[in-house]
Amino acid sequence: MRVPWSDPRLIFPLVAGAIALGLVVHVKPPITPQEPVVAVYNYIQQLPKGSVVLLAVDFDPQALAELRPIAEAVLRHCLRQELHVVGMTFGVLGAPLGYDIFRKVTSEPEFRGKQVGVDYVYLGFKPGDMTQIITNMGENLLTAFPQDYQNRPTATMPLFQQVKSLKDVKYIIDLAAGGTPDTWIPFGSDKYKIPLAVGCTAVMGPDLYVRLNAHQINGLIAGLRGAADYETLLGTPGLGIGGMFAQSLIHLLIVAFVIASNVAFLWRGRRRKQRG
Amino acid sequence: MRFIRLTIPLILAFLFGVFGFGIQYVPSPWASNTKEFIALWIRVIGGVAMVLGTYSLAHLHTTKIRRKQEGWGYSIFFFLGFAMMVVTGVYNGGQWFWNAQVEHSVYDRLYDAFYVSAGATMFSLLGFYIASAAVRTFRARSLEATLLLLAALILMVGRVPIGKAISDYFPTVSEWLMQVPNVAAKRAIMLGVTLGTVATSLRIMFGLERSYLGGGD
Repeated sequence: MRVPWSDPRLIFPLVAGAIALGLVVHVKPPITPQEPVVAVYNYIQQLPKGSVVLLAVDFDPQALAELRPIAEAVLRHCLRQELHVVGMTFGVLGAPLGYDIFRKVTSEPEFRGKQVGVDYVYLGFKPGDMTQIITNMGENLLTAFPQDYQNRPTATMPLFQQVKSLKDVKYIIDLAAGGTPDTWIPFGSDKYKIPLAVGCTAVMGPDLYVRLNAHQINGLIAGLRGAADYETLLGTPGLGIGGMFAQSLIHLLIVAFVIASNVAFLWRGRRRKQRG
Repeated sequence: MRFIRLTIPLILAFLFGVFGFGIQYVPSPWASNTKEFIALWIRVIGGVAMVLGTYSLAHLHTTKIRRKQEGWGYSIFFFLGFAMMVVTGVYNGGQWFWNAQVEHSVYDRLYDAFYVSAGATMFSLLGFYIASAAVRTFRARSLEATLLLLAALILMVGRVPIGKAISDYFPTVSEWLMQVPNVAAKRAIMLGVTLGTVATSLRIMFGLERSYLGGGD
């Protein structure tokens, strides 16, 4: 009997089953953090207390599964290091997600003492051309964002007595599900000499290795695996580590399918040759 | 007529091209104020474009419903969804739209229950299609295809934690594949695209590329 290795009717149920199994069965595979993720962790680790970090939550619900764990882990790390975090987004549909991430992390018992406008602020979404807004932020952050996501005036916030423009920011982390790093690099990072790290979906990872290799970004957290690496470094397991067994199972399943379909393909070719 | 249809647009393209390029490199308050002014206008124009886009979308679906075109029933859901989000967004939990978004309002709940769930589901479906596409694509049909197949297999095993548990070589080789062949290929593509963009921009600025004007001359 010919096994339909490439038939979606066989592949889809097995993929669904493997994901379900991986998420239900709590197995923690050993995780060795990758170098580009360690670079981000180490950079945040060495920043002096009170430094301002800009967290750009540039993703929408489509990339939630991969980028939310990264956002939460990075935000936790920054707050734990007593850094001041300014959050914002260029994605209108992702603006509530960013707010939700800030709300969730800052309400954890560990960060109860952190105050909005003092230790962190979420500015939300700003409409318009990204290049122009970043340029505007480089000149004056308060005119670019006169209010935060909750319509509170930023001019009276103690945090903005310390940070007047992008030039006062010590690190930019762009959590991207699209082309935003390509604009952050020339107009935010290069122009004002601010180191930039990127958190992105797994499919964007290979593209951003070029930026990493050229030192245009100093670290990269790609996909759920990147989140798991960061959570491992942080010692706070979350959705990243939780998804690693499922991801491992799926990858192994696909590899098994690819090998099986190739064996069948070569076998058929050989039989055809033998028949002449 | 030729002066209005051809010469003036070419002069404008040249002037605005030089202006847009130069303004990024002039370190003066005038330049930064101009940039802020332009940013403001882009937002205004964006707002107008959004109105036009909404009108166009509504017109498309109205026509579909009126002519009972195939799948016209789905167009009703466009209007339902649109009305639901606009009304709840404007009402904003009783605070109206000019105030900050009210937490846990109907709008908030609709966003979480519909948009977030639907968006995440659509993206998750990709996982299934990628699995199916990988099985059909990675076939050892030629030397090049076999190399691609091997690289894919190593990467798929090397990028997940279980890869290291199988062998230390998997993460090492997969990292090499990402850092060397991947970067080389991507860089070549990026350089090609960027040089092409610069060349096209210069051709437009100097009037050598005129296809944007329409017409033959």
